Amino acid sequence: MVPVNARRLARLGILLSAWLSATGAIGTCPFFKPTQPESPDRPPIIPDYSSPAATLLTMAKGVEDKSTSNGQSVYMDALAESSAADPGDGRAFHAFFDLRDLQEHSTSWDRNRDWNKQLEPVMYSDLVRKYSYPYLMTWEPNEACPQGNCNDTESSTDALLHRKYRIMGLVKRGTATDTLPVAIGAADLYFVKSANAANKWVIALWQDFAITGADTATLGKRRLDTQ
Amino acid sequence: MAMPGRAQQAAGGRFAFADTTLLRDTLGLSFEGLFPLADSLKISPDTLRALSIRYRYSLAQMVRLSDSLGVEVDSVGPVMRRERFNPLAAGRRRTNTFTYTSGYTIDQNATTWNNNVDYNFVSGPLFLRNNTSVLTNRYKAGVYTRVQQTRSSSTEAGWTFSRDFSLGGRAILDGYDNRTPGAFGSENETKGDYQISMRSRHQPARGLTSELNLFSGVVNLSNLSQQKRGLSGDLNGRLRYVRGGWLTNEANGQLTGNLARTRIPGASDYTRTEDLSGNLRGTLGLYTGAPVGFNLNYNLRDSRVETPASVPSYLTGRDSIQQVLSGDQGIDMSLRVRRDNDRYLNFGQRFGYARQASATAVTSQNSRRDRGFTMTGRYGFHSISLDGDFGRTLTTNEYPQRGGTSGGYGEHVDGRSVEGSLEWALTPRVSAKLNGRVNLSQSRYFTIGTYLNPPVPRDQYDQSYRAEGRYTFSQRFNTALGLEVSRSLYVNIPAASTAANNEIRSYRADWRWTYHLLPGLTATQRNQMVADYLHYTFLPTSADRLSLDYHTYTELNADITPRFHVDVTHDIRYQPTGGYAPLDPPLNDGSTYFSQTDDSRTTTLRATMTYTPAPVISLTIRPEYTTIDRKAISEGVATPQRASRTLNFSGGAHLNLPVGRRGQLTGGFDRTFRSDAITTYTSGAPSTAPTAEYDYWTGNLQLSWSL
Repeated sequence: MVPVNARRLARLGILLSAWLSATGAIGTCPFFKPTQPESPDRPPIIPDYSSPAATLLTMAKGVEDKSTSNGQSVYMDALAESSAADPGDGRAFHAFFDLRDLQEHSTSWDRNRDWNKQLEPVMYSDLVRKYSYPYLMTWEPNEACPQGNCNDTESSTDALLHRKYRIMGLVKRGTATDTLPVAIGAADLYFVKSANAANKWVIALWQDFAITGADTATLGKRRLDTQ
Repeated sequence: MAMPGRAQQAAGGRFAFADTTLLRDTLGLSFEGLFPLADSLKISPDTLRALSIRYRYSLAQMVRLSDSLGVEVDSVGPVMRRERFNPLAAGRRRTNTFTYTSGYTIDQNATTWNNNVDYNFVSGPLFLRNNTSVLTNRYKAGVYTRVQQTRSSSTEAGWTFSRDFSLGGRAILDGYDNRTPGAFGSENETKGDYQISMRSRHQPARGLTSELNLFSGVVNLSNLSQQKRGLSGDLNGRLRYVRGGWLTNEANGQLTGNLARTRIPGASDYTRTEDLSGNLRGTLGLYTGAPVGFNLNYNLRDSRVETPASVPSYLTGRDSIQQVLSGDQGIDMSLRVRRDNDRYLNFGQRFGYARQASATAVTSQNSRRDRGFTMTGRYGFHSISLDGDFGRTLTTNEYPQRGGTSGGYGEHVDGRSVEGSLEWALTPRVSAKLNGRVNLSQSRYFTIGTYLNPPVPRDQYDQSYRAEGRYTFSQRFNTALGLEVSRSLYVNIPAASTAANNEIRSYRADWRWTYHLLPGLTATQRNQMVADYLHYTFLPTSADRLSLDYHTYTELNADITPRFHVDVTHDIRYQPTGGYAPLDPPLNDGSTYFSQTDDSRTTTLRATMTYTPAPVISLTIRPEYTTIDRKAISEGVATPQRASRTLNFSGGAHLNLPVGRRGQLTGGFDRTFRSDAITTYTSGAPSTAPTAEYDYWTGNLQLSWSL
């Protein structure tokens, strides 16, 4: 054992006290203390990313929330984050578009650009402000996926789901409620299990497709419309 | 010294957990001393190792070249590659080399074919160089096949008038094609630069060297969004001044521009456009080798690109021109007080400003302004080493057109961090490490114009503490135990968004050991337990969640014979999660109990068998079997939700084969088979989907040939 004398141990003690006081563990130093928040005035969405299906359901709740509480936050947290500044998921989020949508936006969107997580809040913000009506978002299996193989595959670390999505505005007319299509399409969704958060499934790749016969914009088109 | 292909065990207390892999058998590279060197260079070990492998330089070579070229270690590779194409660097030694490289990669739904030719001819003062590459990608999507081809060719020929001056001409041709069946998606781009080239070197005074290069000519660009024809120029240079051992200054600058006539494809009229970009980057060092030294890095970049927009100009009636502006300026400086590698203190300050075209409106700029202060230090005595790190960064981001014409928003971010570590080699066999860190990031927003939807002001707070002990019984056995606690707070400030504010407390314990059981047989096991307690600050306890994760990973590495190697891994993971429910009957004190709601169990058994009959070829078989079972639990009763069984089987060959005296064939190919069987349960009744099977080739082969 290498001897360490009392004087040096005393210095260590001083360092430890300085640490505890600077980080707010003892004393009143506010440098590392977060701000006291206001009390909430509406219930939040409780996010659940414990499976790919739960992640999709949480995203749908995020869209339906229309950014009135934590909707944008839970929607964005469903997309993979690889940034080193953040406790990342180990993968980044990328979205790809239907060729018809790309063609339609050939002058406003450079096909070499990458649609990543930094651009997604722009789409979310634009989407939820498009109509003042409440939204309803649903997911259902896509049995006519353009790639041919429609079987979902899932392993312990990743999963590929083929889904149709439908975002409808709910328009009240007297006692009846009509629906107004906001975005309809299909997507091949590649999920990965987060490298840092336990039991969290996030979307790493979103390949968007237009549904044959649907004349409503896809989410891919809604993304490109913001550019 | 570790066995070939085995993890290297680093010695010493501070780098007790250092671990790296030897590649000397294949690339002739080893990474002895990687961690201390990376620590000393202030670069991450994996970056240093990746640079060494990428450019095939040993660590010692990289440090030597860094010193002699006067550049950072991470710039050695790019500078050496750049200098290969500099006729002044090559001198007049007769050279006639030709290298052809071709690579073919095949994946399940895509193939890539890459061809590259590199020709270099020098005869006395005459030089000729050509580099041509063609990259073809094919993507299969259902019945469609999309083909992308990228071509580039750079040819330069000239005359070296003296050791310090050359004159010539060069042609740079680029092309891109994207062909998609049907009416959608096909496009192409061609670009040609034809320029005279002038290169010169100067040494006007002792300690002062400089380079000045000029390329000027015509440019012809045609793509989906514009056609551009005109004059182009590129003036770049480098200045390096060294005085004694106390002053070094190096600056690199570049000015590029186009003066062209541009139009949207199909438009009848051309419009005059001017593109200009300037870039200056430099480093000033004062007494860098002395106990007190100062270092200053500065950079200045400004760019203006003009492109036509399909909106007629109010004045001329032609297509209007939109200017895309970007740029950045910054300085960072550091004052270093250093006694030796174990006792130093660094103070750093940074100021930066950057602007770039907005994604929502290219003529509008997003901007980022930041200033930050950092302080790092180390103090080592006897067998104890203390490390400290403190930083504060204030950043202002502005997105003036994030909401289109209605405006945008700005963001102030105040980031504060502190980290401390204590490492103690108690005995030659026992070492301990304590680490603590605290981060606080505060984001506040303001609106620009009439934008209605700025993000929510919020704070993010993280703190964690970790204790780790390692015991090395002998060269054959070592073990380590770690405990970590962390706390994260996500705090939205205004009432409309605070309902989801939450706090996560995590507790992690991990234990790992490695035992060299027999000559040629090593066992390694890692065990980890994690508990994440999620608490919603403003919600009742019933909303809280607990996620548990028990993970065991066991690996056996065996050299059955010198040519036959087997790795077997077994991975087991058990993850119960759930919430909190009141006791039945409920107690007045509001006590709740953990009520499990989900149960997930994953097991993977994997083996990799490699047979190397000769150094030029190895054969690999890799079977893997994974089971996943998920259950939902309600009031203690488990109901199966989903069960999947996956078999992956791949086998293939990997080559490192000389072809003749000057050729090399490297790479490998595999045949992969995958079978998925999934059973889902509805109200407890199983529903088994047809087994999905995939069978495909993957591979990558590279042929390089030199003359």
